[in-house]
Amino acid sequence: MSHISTAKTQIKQPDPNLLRRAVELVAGQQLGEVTGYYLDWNMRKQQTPLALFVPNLKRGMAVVVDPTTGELQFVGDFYGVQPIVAEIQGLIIQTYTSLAVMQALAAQGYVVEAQEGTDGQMVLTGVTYA
Amino acid sequence: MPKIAKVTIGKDGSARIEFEGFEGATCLKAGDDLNTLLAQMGITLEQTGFEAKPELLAAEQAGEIIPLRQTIRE
Repeated sequence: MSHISTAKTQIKQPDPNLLRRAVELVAGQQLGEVTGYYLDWNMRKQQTPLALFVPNLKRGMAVVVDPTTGELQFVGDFYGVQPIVAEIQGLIIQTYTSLAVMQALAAQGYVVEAQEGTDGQMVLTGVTYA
Repeated sequence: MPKIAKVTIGKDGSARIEFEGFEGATCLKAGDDLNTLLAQMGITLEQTGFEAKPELLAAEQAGEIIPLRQTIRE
């Protein structure tokens, strides 16, 4: 063994295709769907490039990148559903990070395998003989 | 002997990265390369902890790399 490091993750200017894939995966896992809109407080459709609906989040959630700062933002009317919103946001960040790590390891020549760990963790193992 | 990079992503997106089977300080370069590729996808890993394993400590003692404590402070 060589070394172990731990790190906090920050996402800015995410890859659009990878972000969409992460949102699709989370929506699928949660028996929801990806859409091009969310519903505001008055249940009116608000168009947006990327949003998802899951059970118990009936007004949906837009996933947007701030054009000025590049920060990932989650937009919607979350009154009364903050716990599920926090859970979905966490899953999207975790899934995006996992997909990015898998892509990065593959680009370095590793053969990558993903497994679910304990406490909702994702464990990605890359192996190379190079 | 295979080289293994094991990355555990927590529910909050935090990461634990473990390199295994690397000779000397080559694991540090592997970590840097991984960080560079992740940065291209908008991910910055802000290191919160570091644990060197015997092979890496041996490389440090042999003078192959900058002392780890100094590297970490930077």
